[in-house]
Amino acid sequence: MTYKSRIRFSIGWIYPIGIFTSYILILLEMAMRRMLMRSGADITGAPYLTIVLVALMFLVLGIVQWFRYRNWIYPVLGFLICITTAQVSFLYPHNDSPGFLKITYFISFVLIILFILINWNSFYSHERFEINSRRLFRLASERIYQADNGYTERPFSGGKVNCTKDELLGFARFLQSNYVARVFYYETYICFSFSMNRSLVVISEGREVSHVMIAYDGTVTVTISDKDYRDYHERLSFDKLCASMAGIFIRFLDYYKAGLEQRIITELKSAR
Amino acid sequence: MDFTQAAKLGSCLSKDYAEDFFALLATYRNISASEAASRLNLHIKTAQDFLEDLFSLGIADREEVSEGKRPYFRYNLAVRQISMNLDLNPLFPAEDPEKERLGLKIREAQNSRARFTTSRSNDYISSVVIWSGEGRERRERKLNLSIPQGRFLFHLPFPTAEPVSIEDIAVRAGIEGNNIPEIIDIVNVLIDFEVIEGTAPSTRP
Repeated sequence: MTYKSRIRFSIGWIYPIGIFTSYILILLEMAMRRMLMRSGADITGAPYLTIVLVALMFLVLGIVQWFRYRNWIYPVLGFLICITTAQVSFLYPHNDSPGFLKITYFISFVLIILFILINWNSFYSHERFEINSRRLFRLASERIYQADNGYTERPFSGGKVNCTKDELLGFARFLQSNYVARVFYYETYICFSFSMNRSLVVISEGREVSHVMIAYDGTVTVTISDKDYRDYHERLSFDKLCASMAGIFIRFLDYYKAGLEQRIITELKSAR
Repeated sequence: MDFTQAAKLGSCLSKDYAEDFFALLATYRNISASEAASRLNLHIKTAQDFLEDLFSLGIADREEVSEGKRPYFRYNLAVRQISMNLDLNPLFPAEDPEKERLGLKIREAQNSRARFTTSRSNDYISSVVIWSGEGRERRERKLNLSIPQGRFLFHLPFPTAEPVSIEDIAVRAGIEGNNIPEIIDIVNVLIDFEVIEGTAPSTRP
């Protein structure tokens, strides 16, 4: 039996696919140009068309990521890579553009490196949070076979857990440090936020995205955002999905209480 | 006294000219609407309506007279004291239908077009906003909930979950018995707005 993911793929996957495709396009374009040159056409050998297409791809992906994650670093990075890619054409031999334009390519390249280094924390945290959020949603949907929709914005009452405040705080620190969920501390409860859409790095309130709240008295409440729910290929039975998500956090907390924290990571990584 | 009469009496007494009007009626043996209106500097229709309300409440008597012109009424005060006794008993829900309602199995309706806002403490629903109509006819109705009502709705089954009886949800939400009437009230309102769907409990043979 073949495996088929229940969640739509991440935008990040388009980058390697796009870059790989661009290499094929470059080879094709160069071959075509060589053929045309041999037949006497007055053109150069540089694959300008592919360069423009790849530059546009980075720009468009940056904009798409902005709309999805609401994190400004992606459109800025997309723009920088777009500019740099467009300047690659100046590096080709027989290009008669002035020499300073070749230098601008290297300046842009250094700018990209600097930008990534300065915002490394945001890039890294976002990617780790998104990967683990996807794993959480996959885990939650593993044993749900009913697809009768039933989405509601209302929080789901996921029952109660037995734990002390210290245990809960320790559990929160563990999940935050392993980028499983971003943790927000409130007066009477802790909010564990996770999202496949809006970046967890830019939110200021845990309730802005999907979240599980565990009160210090042990009450568990689950809220799954409309956007995250729509990322499933099927309209899974919503109450079952919320109950499953509550079950995951209760189970993870039990693992933590029993000193089996590593099992949390193992279980997350096993989600397919 | 029923609610309609009480409302009429309350409305009469709340007029800013009411005390002067009663003083006039107490002073004069009887008085016509036009005389009272000119004396209190009111419109004749205002004075006429006030006197007719007092007559309908039994506070004033009237007598039809005609002095060579078309007949008109002269009013005199019929009582020296006004007491309001309003019976609220009929407004309390009967106990049996309430118990019957507790067995109703409910859950949130699919695509209910309602937005539930949770409290800051995140353990009850603080308000429900319901939209009805389309386009320019779209209307918004906001229901602010009491804390027991909010706790009850917090535990309301989701649209795809199995419906649960009102009684069971109340137990799950930890709602006390004396809050049940307000719970049933909000359930009835939300059923009318098609936010909640209810199925009658199955009767055992």
